[in-house]
Amino acid sequence: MALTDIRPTVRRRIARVSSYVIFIAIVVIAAVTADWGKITFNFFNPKVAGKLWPGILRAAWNTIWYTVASFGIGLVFAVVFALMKMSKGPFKWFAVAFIELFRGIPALLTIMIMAFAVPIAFPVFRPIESTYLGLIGLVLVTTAYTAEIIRAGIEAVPRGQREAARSLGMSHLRTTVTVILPQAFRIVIPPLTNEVVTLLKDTSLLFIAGATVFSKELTQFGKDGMSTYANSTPFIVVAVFYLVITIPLTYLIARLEKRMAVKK
Amino acid sequence: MSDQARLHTRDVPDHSVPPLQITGLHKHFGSLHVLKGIDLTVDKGEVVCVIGPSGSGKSTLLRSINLLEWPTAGKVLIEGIDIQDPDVNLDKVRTRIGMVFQSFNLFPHMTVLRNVTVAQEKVLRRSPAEARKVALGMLERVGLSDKVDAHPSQLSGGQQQRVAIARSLSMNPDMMLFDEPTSALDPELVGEVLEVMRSLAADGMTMVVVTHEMGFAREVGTRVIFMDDGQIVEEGPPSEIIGNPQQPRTQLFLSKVL
Ligand SMILES: Nc1ncnc2c1ncn2[C@@H]1O[C@H](COP(=O)(O)OP(=O)(O)O)[C@@H](O)[C@H]1O
Ligand SMILES: [Mg+2]
Repeated sequence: MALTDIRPTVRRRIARVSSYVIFIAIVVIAAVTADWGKITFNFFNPKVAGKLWPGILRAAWNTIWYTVASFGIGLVFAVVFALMKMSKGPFKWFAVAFIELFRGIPALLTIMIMAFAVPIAFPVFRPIESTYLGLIGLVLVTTAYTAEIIRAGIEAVPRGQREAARSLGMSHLRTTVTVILPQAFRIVIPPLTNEVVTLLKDTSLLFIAGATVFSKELTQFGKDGMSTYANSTPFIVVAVFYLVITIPLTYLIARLEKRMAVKK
Repeated sequence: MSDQARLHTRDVPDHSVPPLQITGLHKHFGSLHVLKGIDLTVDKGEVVCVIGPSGSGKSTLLRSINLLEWPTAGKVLIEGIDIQDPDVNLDKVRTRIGMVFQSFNLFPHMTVLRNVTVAQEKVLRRSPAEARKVALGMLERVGLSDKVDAHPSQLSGGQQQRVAIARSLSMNPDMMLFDEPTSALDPELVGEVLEVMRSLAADGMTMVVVTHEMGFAREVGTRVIFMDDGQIVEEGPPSEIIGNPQQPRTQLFLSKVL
């Protein structure tokens, strides 16, 4: 075998091995120089972690139901806004304005406005706890994003579907409900699941509204735990809770997308 | 005449007049003048075959008949009803005009049976049991009784098109429109669809068929219309139009497709 034949392979192998060596060296140096006692005590402290139980269950539950509720309500409004945006006339412009507004400003700002500014302007909102007002803000944000997802789904349904339904005598509304929307929903399942993941993480923004013991979600719970115990372990525990929910969801999206791709 | 009576006369089909009368039909898409004054009357039981080069406006003409395309000018009368009249219930008129598309357009999220029952239930308000009975009858007629529970994606193109025909027939239309129903099919599947259409014609269904199947037009058509550039250039019995065309444009077209 000629030396020139194996040279590129060998060169590639050397490059790979040396990158491993560098990586391992960095890890080793970090491990040797790190203060393991402090790290364990501050981030992986079993005592602190134990104290988070069972309060963290309520926080996790709150995170989940804030997500599910805002997504569910948002989805219903999103369909309405998507249809409005695809119509002609004043409804269209109202929908466009709504969607651009709440996609264009930070979710955190929307939540703060709902939680703090709106009750000043409208006394009827004053008895409502600020976290729940913030949740309304989150609904507005997810409605705007989901409306755009739904609209894209509706537009992805072939034109012939509507024409076939109309020529069977179905009204515009009947066609939309029976023929177009069921197909549109199938098309947008992956991006919708994505929106759920984003929304789940965005419930953490509700911390700005200042929750009570009963209404706090995971991130606020972690932050409060950190202050109470002067220790960062609550952050790690909370992060694990998020991952336990989001990673399976992410895999679900990947699988759904693969299945869709196969169907086509 | 009272309002009620006025509406009544506008909505109710008059079976003593031709099922389809088109006069002075024009259609523009922006600056594109696609239909340039079409006059066409179709009598009961006629099978009118529309032929012509691609882009000549055949689909647009067919789609104007049930107002999938709204004419720029001219009138379309369905069983004597002016379907552009805002007082006319267009959805109701459409139930009496079956339409079959080149791309089938079955509803992919429904089974074959549901495809054929859904409009019966939602539009004609038939009971599920009755709709099912009608659907099974129509599916048997097109030879697909064994595919009732399949989804459209599991069927061949020819089978899908036959379901689409059954779906239209289940509404008991007085007239059927076909827009190149076999153009998207593999050659070996064309025959089964034409066979269904042939049997429909034999039963006396009024049909307008845009097609490139000259054999079908010649055997089944009672009249052939040659369209070019948005106009009817020549029309008459198939033997004359296909067998002995008079207009140079018709001769040129037929020399290419035959
Ligand atoms: N929705 C539309 N918008 C713009 N142009 C159109 C539309 N539909 C058809 N056309 C144009 O009208 C002409 C006639 O089209 P069509 O009726 O489909 O012809 P044919 O069915 O005879 O091939 C073509 O030039 C086509 O590009
Ligand atoms: Mg065409």
